[in-house]
Amino acid sequence: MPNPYTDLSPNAYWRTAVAETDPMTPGDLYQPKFEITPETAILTVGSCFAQHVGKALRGAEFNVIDTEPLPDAVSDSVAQRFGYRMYSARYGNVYTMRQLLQLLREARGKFTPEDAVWEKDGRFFDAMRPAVEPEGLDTADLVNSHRTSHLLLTRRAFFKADVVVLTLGLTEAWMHRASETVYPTAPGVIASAYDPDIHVFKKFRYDEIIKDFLTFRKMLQQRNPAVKFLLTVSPVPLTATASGQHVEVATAHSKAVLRAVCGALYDDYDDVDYFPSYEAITSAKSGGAYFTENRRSVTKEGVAKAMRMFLSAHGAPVPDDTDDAPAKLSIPNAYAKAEADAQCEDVLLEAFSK
Amino acid sequence: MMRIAVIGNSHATAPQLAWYNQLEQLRPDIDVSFFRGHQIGLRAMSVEPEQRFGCFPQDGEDPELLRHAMRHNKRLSIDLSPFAAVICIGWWYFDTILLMSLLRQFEIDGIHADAGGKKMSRPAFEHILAQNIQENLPTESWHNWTAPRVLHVGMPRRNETTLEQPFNSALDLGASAYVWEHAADLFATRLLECGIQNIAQPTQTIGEHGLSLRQYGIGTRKRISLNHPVKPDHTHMNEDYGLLLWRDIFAALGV
Repeated sequence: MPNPYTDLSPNAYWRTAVAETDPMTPGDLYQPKFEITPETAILTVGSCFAQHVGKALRGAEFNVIDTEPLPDAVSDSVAQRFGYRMYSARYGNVYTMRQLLQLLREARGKFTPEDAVWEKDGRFFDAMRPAVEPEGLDTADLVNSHRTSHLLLTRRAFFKADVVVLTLGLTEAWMHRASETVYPTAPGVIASAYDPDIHVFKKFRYDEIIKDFLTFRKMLQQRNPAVKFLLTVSPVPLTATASGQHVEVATAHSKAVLRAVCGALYDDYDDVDYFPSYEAITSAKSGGAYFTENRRSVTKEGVAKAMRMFLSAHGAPVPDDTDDAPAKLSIPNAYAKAEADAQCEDVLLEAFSK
Repeated sequence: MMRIAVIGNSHATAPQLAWYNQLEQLRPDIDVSFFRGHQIGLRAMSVEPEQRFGCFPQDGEDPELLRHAMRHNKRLSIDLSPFAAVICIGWWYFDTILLMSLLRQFEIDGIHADAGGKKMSRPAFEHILAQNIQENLPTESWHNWTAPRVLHVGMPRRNETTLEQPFNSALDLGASAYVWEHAADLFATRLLECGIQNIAQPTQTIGEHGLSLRQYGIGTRKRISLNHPVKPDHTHMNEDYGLLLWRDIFAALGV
């Protein structure tokens, strides 16, 4: 053998795997480590891109856990406005690994968040999932009562899972300074008000995220040693950064850290797989065609491409290709459609840009 | 003579029995024509600009729908323009199965007592209800008719006998009564916005639990052919109920 690169498969070479392939076809980016069958109980969680993953899995009739289901007669638009049918319980978007670990610990009675009820205009919001009740509730007690009920159902969802499909979204978060309670949104965006004496910005580092994931994995495996993890990284850039850096630099940093976390976990653990939706959508060969006019939101065609790759790899029926024409950046409705299909709190930050 | 058209599903059987068995002889000043169908069939039919309602072969209607109309009415459509009033009974209404399902699954703020179960906020419930009502309102082709007038009679509340069904034994009766009344009020309000007057369920037919009194469920004819009593029937009302409905319809029409 003249050198180690002589007899590799075509997908190992950029020219044959990328440069000379159809720019709108992701190719065989994903070779699953473990099987996911229609019987596998799947828990979905993560940043708002994870909603697309859950929706595609449900659409393909995978066994996606939903411990807070609504009757079928309720439309998706009403259900999702109130946090139903988004994930396996009504926990809303979970943007950081620390937030996910905190949720599991709280559901197991091992953690109590501080400053957990936010108020705005006489209405009260669950600070751990402020977007699931967009009109708020009448009292703080009611918020606490709903949260207690929700946590029981969240715990049930976690413990039923054979596979956790987790989309990592952000490395930046806002915390309660004294208790280090992590919030999914910055105080003041949906409710409450930012107070630098109480709240603090946090940028999670690679080693912290790895450690949080391993703690999360260990807690779940204590209950179900066979549980597996399928990680993805959201391809959606940051809406805004509080890091002081340019948002594009902060985005590159955040995605690089999250992608590196996934890579390390994939390499080190047989029960951790990585689904490359990030690569499918951000690939150089698609030339940004899977992003809408704002260069941030992913088009429904992009989501469809990524999810088709997933379904195909797991032997599931792949939806018809007819409404999946190559994305065009000139389609103005694509942005609205993609945004409408996923409930994302961080989009609200855009309202604060000058 | 006042001519009244009744377009109804199985819930029109009670007033139909009352009309033919008791009222027709007493009210020679009123002529009533019935056009019947099941819920899905009636909703699949349409009303043409000339106020003819039914199914129309020239529009490529489903042959099954045509057979359905013929089977129950011996005609495919009815010309409503000569009538003074059209009473639509039972086939526009909120989804009661959905509401009962929510009541069984969730504790809804301000409706259920907090017993530590699965919770639903009041805003979420109200949005679901609003969507439910919106989806079940009559199409625009029915809005704001003046000649003939259009009146609506909703589905009656479930009979008290429904509590004997095992899956209803744990139903919170207070919550059930409240939700039904609240939904019916909202539906009536939305109908009025469409220019359609709602005839509410006669109050003396409703028991303390907010369900229809047992006595109005005795001797019902569920099938729209009138000839097939079905037991147990927790949903449909009898001729006595139909009589009370006619009293309120006549009052609304001033006859």
